[in-house]
Amino acid sequence: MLGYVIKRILLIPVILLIVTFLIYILVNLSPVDPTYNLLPMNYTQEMADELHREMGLDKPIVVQYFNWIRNALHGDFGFSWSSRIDVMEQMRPRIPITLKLSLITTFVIMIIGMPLGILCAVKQYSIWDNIFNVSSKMLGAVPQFWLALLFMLLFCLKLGWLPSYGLKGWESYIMPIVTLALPSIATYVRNTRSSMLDCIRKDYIRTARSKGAKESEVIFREALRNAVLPLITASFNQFVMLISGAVVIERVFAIPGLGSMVIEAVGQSDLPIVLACTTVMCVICVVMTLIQDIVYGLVDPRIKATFVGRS
Amino acid sequence: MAETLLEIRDLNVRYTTDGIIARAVNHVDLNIEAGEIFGLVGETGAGKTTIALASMGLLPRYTSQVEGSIKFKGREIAGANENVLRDIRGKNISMIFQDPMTSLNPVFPVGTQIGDVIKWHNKSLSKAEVETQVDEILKMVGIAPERKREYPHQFSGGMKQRVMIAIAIVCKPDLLIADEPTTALDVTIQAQVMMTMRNLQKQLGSSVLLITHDLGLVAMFCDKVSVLYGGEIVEHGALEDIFDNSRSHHPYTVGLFGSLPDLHSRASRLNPIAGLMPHPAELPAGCKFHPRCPERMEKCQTGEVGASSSGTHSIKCHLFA
Repeated sequence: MLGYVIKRILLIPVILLIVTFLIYILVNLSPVDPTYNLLPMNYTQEMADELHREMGLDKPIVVQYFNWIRNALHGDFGFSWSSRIDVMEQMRPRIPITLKLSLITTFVIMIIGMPLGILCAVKQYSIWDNIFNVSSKMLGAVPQFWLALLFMLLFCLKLGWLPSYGLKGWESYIMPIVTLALPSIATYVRNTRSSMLDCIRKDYIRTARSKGAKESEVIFREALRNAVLPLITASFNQFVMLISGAVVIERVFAIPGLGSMVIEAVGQSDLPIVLACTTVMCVICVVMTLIQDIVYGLVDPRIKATFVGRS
Repeated sequence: MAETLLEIRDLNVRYTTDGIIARAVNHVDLNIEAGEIFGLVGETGAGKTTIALASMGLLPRYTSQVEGSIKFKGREIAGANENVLRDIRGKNISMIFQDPMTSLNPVFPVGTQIGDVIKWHNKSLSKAEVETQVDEILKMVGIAPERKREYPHQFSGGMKQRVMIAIAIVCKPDLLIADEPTTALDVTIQAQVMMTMRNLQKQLGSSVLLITHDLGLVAMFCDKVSVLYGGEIVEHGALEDIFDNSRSHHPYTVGLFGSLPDLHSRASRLNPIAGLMPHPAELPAGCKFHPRCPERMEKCQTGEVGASSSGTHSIKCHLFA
């Protein structure tokens, strides 16, 4: 197990090198030139060439990439093409905000979605099952930004309970988290339900009953321990998706996170910021995948066995 | 006469799915006495497993209806509530399932799965006491106690079935239901598993309900035999009654024996029974076997047949009525 983990950790730099290279190439395929942003309106060709030389943009793309990655390794992502402020400085306060938002949302989804899913599976075809099934399908079909606007209308304008934008304390997190979580809870309930139903029908559940297990033991120990495996994947996928996918909600609620930063940067053709943000998201993704694999191995002995076999 | 452990009277089980009613078990009577090995023989789909599951109250709650009476030591099992059943399951009646590959929970070590039964039925035992019992039972079924920390996927099929046997007998049940315990295993392992089971049965004095389609196993192990067809018991008797060629038998039993290879006859082909077992949703009227029966008569197609018996042997067929 330990050998496997070490091997996986050693692989991380290689993966990141490949991914960042691809991002760098793709981003640079767009015909964006910093001269529009950085030079005065009436700039001359000489001034543009001078700027290119200064920023190393006259060199071949591969050389540019290696210069960028060398600086990035020292925590230097260059400066913004629009504001001339250091990228790292701009990005640093935003990372914890996005992480916090994604992490809490993922937990909320799990804590609410899992018990409801189990309830639906255990009481299959009951009134609860039907209620949650229909409502989760409806919730899944609602666009998040629309939900966000409805909540704003109700809780900020009508009732005045919650702040409508920005981050002014813990209250500010409530609406974004609820809007992000609701549609995903719907998916999570359905995932848990089908995974549980799958396990409840297995032979080993019949064995457990034949051994005289209490119904609570059958459900929460024998079945859930097996049903939880695909849910681990779902939870981590959810988290990774939120890291990069909270863009719309961050925008609607004006939360200064990574997502809103990327959107602004794209609008302003601010390549250094786009590169830096996507790289940070990638690092989070790769680390999360590693943790996911380790958790998986801890829960399922069969997977642990393949780890040991391979390492 | 020994004490009657399991007494099944006029048992009917129906499965309902999508409005189709499958009559899996019809008017079955069955008596298992203390210490005996009772063989229940029949083709796939004859209702063998349904009888076994009904005896433990393990039939699916919403899709099955049980009528009749199943008494274990005088206690009614059919329709009993979960608390009563839970107390009986694993302690008084336990079951070994057909497929050891899927019958063990893949995420718990086998020792835990054996220990659970002990804990659930003996709440006062300490952890150490449970562990000693686990070690003992593993030794009894021929598995090194050190392997108790291993998971089911680290065991072979035969070893998994031994673990299942250990789970089933660790609380010294009065009745052990073995539902085709060796069907999923290869022939050499079959013999080992069956010997393990019989030795343990002798040591503990339990009764066994052996469900199988293998007449060889029945001949080797059973005291009494019931032949099941279309959810009905068509012939019942002591082992000697059923396996005695000189006696008259139900045409289905004759067919079953005809489909076995015989060392002494020089037949170039076996004589399987023509046709297929009817689906329990489309059982024919009259004798369930009449469409396939070589000796069918006019009256077989309509009225129900009563059983005619002589001594311990009884046959449900118009030929002998």
